[in-house]
Amino acid sequence: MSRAVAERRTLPAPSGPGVAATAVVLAILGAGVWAAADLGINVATLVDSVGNAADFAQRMFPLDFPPVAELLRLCGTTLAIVVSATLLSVLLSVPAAVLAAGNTTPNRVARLGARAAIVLARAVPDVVLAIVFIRVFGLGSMAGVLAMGLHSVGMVGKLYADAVEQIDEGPRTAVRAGGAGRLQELASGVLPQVLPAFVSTALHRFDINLRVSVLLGFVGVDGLGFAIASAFRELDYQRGMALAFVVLVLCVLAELLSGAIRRGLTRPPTSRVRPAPGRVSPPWTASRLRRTVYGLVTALVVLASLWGAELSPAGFVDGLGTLGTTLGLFWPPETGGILPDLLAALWVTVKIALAATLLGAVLALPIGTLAARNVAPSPRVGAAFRGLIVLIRGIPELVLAVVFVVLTGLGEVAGTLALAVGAVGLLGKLVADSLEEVDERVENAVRATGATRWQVFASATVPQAAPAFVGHVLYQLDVNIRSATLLGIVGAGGIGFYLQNASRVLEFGVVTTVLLLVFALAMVVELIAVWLRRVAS
Amino acid sequence: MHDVVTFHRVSKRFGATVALDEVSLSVPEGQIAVLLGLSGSGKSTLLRHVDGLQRASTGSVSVLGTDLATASGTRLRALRRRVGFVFQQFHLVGGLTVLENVCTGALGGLRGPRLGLFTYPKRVRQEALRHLDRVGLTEQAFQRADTLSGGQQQRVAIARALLQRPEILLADEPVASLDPESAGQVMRLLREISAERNLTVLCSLHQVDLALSWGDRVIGLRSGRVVLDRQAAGLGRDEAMAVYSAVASVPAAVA
Repeated sequence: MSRAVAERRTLPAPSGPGVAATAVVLAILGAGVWAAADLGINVATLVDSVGNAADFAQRMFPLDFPPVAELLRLCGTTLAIVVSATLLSVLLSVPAAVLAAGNTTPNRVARLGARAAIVLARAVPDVVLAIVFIRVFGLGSMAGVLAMGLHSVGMVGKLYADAVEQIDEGPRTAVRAGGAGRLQELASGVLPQVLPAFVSTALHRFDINLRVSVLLGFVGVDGLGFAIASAFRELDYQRGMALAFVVLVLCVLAELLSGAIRRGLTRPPTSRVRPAPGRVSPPWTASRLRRTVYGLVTALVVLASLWGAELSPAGFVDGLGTLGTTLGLFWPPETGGILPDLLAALWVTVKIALAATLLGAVLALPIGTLAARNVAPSPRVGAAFRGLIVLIRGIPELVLAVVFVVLTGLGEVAGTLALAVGAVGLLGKLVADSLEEVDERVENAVRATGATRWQVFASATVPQAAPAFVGHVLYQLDVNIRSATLLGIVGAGGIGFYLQNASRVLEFGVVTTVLLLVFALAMVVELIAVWLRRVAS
Repeated sequence: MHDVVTFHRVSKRFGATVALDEVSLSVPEGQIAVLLGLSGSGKSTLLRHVDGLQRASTGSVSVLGTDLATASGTRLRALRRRVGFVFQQFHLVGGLTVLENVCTGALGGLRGPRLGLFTYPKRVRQEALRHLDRVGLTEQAFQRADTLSGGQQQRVAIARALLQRPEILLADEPVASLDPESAGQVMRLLREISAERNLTVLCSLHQVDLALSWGDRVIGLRSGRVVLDRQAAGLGRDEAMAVYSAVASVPAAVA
């Protein structure tokens, strides 16, 4: 006979890894609170900055837009660089993904090599690549295209490889069974299945690169970012903020456009027109016409971008010749006698990332929840919060950082607040998406028992989405550490200041040291994230 | 009539699992041989050996005069061109049109990768349409494959296999995902095509009744061993059902 019902456990015994994971999450949370307090982010600071805001607004208005021709040239250059860079990353990522995906790789060595190349591309920040390439190819577009193009492989190649690994192997087997060769198998059995994911990822990366291009302007890549950097350097806030506003508009437009295209991809139209007898080409239905026009427009945009980015093959070849010498400047890593300062600055970077992730999560959880279709109290509220998230996503972090630098003064508070607000764009979206992806049959089952809206949310929606939340917050921390590094470039605190400074005074060995420090930090976060994901699943 | 497929003492092991155990059989040209057996009895593995998608651990497989144990990659692809394969889950690319899916059957005879209907030569597209006519799906040619019903998708897969102008057609549970009516249509189609082209068909099935009505010959497999091999004509339903019984009571009779 078993024990009496009353004596049985009604709560599960805590499991070892579960306790450990909870402890780590609590530790990160505690670290975030401590970091925010230590950085002096409190009500008083915020009140102070309100006063500055009024002051700043005075210096910023009226916005001073450049002449239309100049403005169009700047936008054109930025877009050309970003399109070219994204195209480059796609061209590099497709073969990298085929080699890196477990189901299409020719052998283990190729797979490891491709995986390593992708991880490395992600680990080296685009700003650092830009600093190197500007040294090699000079100021202008080429350095920006190469820097963003190579760095993007870290994300695009990874997502492409994931997409290839998730395909249905059936069509591929069928094509192979028909005697097709390896390339034919990839083109007919794999590519059609992953094409929507490939296009969607490329568009997503385009959005990201558009924001990044502003940052690259601060180290000398042509376009809007360069103009913004020049304006701020001359303390011309009217011009600088006007250009930042233009970037914001471009980013939101790009986000809306790529969002629309991506949604279109998931449900492509089908032709139900009766084919004429003996006809061997699809009929020209409205949907086929539309797709053809889209294709042609895309081709034109790409060609115009390649032309507009003024990529000179000769300059590229010349630059390659000096690449070895230039890279030699970056090795060995040097400390320039300021190692304690570097370490202290790195520590500030960590604190900024932790505090910004905490504040970002505090903002993003409610906003993302209200933006989720299945949780929002009304469709209108949901749409409004979705819109807010898209708008925030559109603002380049750098523009936020500049604004906060002006509001709160140079230093880490500006960086923290900028990242925290920026986090709403990414984390809010991820929270909303994972809430919307829950199994609604479970929600209906709980609702059917007579549960209230809040009860359904608490016992059906949240438990399904919660594991994803933890992953998203860690991802945001990872993103914030990388971003926190870079925001120092505009004086928003942390190690980025030394990165910018060292490259300006040509101490490239110090640049390498900073890079290695940041790399080590990112790796630690990555390892913690991997471990937590394994424990959580 | 000569044999187009010959298995001689073929065994296939995956780690500790024995998927095929000393299988010997030969299939003459034009015959419809049905494989019966439980899931995991080795039917799919046997079919995949005919196409060289899997290679025997021991023993020899000879198909259309090619010895699969020693065939190079090029020889193997050349052989696969002559052997069509139809799968339980159809294995169509859902996002592509029906016609393009059929056209992929011609890849073995074309050079280079193809993507998009216009990349296939016109004669291939014309022939693909003829095969779609044959399976009764002309009107769906330019629809996305995933808008079709299961039975229709399987007929598309058959049209794709026909585009290879195969001498042997392998069908792995071609009707297991279909309702009885679609299943009957697909089996009738296979039977007719076999008769029209003197096409040898190796087909695995779950249902004894379908096997007895549409097959020339029934081969029963249990745990990778051939436990029944008889002409379908004259084979009793109970005798065929015995393949599924847990006890190995049926002696390995050779037809």
